[in-house]
Amino acid sequence: MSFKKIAALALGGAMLFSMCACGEGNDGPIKTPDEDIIQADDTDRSGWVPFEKREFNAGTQLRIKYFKGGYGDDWLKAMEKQFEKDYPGVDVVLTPSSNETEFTQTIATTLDGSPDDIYICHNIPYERLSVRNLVMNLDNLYNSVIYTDTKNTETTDDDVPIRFVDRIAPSSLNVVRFNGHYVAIPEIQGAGGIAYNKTVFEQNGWKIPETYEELSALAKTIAEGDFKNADGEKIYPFVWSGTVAYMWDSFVYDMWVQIAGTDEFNEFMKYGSKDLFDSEKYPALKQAWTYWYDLVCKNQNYSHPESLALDHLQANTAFAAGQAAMMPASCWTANEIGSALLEAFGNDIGLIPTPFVKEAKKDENGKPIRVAYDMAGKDCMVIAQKGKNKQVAVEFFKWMAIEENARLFPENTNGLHLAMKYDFKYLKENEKSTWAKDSVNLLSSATRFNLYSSSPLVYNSGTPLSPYPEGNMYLEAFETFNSADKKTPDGVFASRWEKIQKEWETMCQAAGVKP
Amino acid sequence: MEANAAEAVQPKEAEEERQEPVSKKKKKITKGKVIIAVFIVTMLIYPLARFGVMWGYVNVRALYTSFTRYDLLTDSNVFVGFLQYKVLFQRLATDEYTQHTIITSVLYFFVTCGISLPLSIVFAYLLFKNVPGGAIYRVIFYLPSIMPIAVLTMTFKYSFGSSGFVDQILHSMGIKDLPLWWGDSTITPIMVFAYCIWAGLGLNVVLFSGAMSRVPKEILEYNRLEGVGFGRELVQIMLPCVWPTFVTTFMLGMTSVLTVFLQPFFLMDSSSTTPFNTCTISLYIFNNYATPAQGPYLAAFGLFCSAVFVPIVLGSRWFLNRFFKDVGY
Repeated sequence: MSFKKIAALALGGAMLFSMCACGEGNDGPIKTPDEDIIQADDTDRSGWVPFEKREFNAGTQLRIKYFKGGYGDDWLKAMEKQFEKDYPGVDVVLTPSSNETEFTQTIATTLDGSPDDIYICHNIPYERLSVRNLVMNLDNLYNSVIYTDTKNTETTDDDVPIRFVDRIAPSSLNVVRFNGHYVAIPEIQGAGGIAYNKTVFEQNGWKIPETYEELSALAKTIAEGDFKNADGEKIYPFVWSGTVAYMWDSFVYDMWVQIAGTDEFNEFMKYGSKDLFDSEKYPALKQAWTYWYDLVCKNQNYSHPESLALDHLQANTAFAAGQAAMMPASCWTANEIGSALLEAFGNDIGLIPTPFVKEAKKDENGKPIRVAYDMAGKDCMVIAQKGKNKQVAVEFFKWMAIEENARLFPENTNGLHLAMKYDFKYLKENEKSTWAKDSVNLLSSATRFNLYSSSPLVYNSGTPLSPYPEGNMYLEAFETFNSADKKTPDGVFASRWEKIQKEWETMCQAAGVKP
Repeated sequence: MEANAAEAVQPKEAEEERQEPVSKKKKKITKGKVIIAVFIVTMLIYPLARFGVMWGYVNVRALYTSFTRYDLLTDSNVFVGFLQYKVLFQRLATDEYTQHTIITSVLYFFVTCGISLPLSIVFAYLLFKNVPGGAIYRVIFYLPSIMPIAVLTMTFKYSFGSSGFVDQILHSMGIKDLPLWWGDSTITPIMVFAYCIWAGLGLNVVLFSGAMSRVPKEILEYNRLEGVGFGRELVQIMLPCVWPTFVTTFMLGMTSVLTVFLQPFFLMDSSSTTPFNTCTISLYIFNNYATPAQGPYLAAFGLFCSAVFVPIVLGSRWFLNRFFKDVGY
């Protein structure tokens, strides 16, 4: 065969290959149920009877592989012990891993082989895994009855089922529904704000700020005063890490949703129109970012002088040492710092909800509505479709949804909670640490939100669309504040709008949606 | 014409007939040749298969992927022509982060080939000339190369800053106004470069020391008798003698533009956006490959950079090889 014939055949094959690859893409958002899930009322839990436990043959194994990260694994070990006690035939096998890649990059291969029954980690790509039928469809689990409400009420004499879906924190439900089905279980319900050094606050008589103006005044007091920590070092209002500057997101996003309201925020997260990025029409995010800019960038002396250069660990340590009174934080911050370090420095810490800005939406009583950004929105648990003991795994999650069992999580972490609807009254009375009490107070009083989006501009896109298509610009704004080409709120948001206008069509094409 | 052609064929056939016994004799395969052939094939199977899979397949797949976009609902790639390249060129033109990523990566060429390589040659020459304590210096130079990069980066990073010993030394020398070594868009990239030079010297020094040790003593003796100074000996005698090693090291240094990622990754505690202008092309790809949806753009980005840079590397090699002919001794 001559070279020309071989070349012609190769080209023909390549063309055929390309044509085969051409296909209809997805033109719209991923299907999710139109109607919101109406959850059963759980304000009065008297008369709730838990479901009847199944029995399993002796020697039945439940294999759980989990990422051993910031939440630790004491909670899981406590659950292992309690579950084995409640289900005498079952042996729970826990396999820790600190290799995130096993749960994100190579998990499809693992699930297609001989997988464990349950996987727990952040950023498990459960949507893709469900398309490939590698994780279990959990619709039946979500509809299964966890409790039966046996008390008769004025409206009904019948027993009312409390389903698994009724037990999940409502703001976490949107994250685990994909294409009309439940495919994962949300792991924790997060909420952030500003961590504060309670010891230092009490020593100096500082009050917890409730409004932005109070926070700003407190920061000014701390920065201009001659306050020292136990080691005689100056106390700065804030310390934060340049390498994880996104920790300011909790503060800024909370103010954004305070101003915009959850309806406008939910509309934004659909990414249905480029106009959402026009800060003339939708000014809330720019206003929130400007509040941050006015507080942090315009007052560079409010930040620990090495903040830009500190990594996450160093910033946590500086905060624990009392070198700063406050630090942008999320719910896992105290757990991450660890009680041992805090004890070593003799400091106690708590969580301040993001203070209210004056434009915050008000409720019917005229009080500003508390909101809280959940940074850990995609931490989840899945059941492997090819797991040997899927039914035991399902039983495990039903068992986990029982209030007493769900409490094993906060009891073995510091201020962290499963994405379950807890009896917060009980937790408020029983939480021991300042951080945990503050977390419960925040979770019980705030409407949580997360950045989950079912838009193809996120799922199908090479660079998932976010509220900041050019990055959050915290570092750039702080660093350039004293230079000629400083990043101001007007400049940052004008540039964002310009980028979206220029690239929207291409972005949509790259995600397979019609502009 | 046909007659001429037949005549032209006849002598050829006759010649083939005459040569047939010879060629048959040539084709006789001995047992020894079979064993050698089996040995060669066996030894080549692994490297060829590896090359085929790790280079051939990966690159063909990447090329195809760069012409697609991902569709989650079908978990497949959909052909979209040059769309990802259009996105790439848009970003190259307007996106500051992408622009800085390219600039930082290119700067690695100057750092590796313009600073690290000449320093390696000078240090290797000094060791070759048996400066006092040369054996100890050799160990000191090579030590960073045998330590785990995670440890080495942390050691280097925490040497600077308020709790690092470098700052304390500088303070004791009266230098008070120190920069934020790891939090400044101008200083921090230089710190990463400094780390790369410090950690990368050892291997090159060993390579050049090895090459210099092979230079005939007679040449050096002649230099000494002629009164050739150190500088002239290094530039005019040693450098041409170790030129093949220089070219190889230079080429490897050039590829750092496309390959450096671990150093800034560990030093900058990286998340998806590496701060302070320290991101490199490969780190950008490494940090951002989390889902298949991101694959097509990253494939286009990687291939574009390779397409631009590989000809430059090959051109440089051709250019450098023209300087000195291979030296045999």
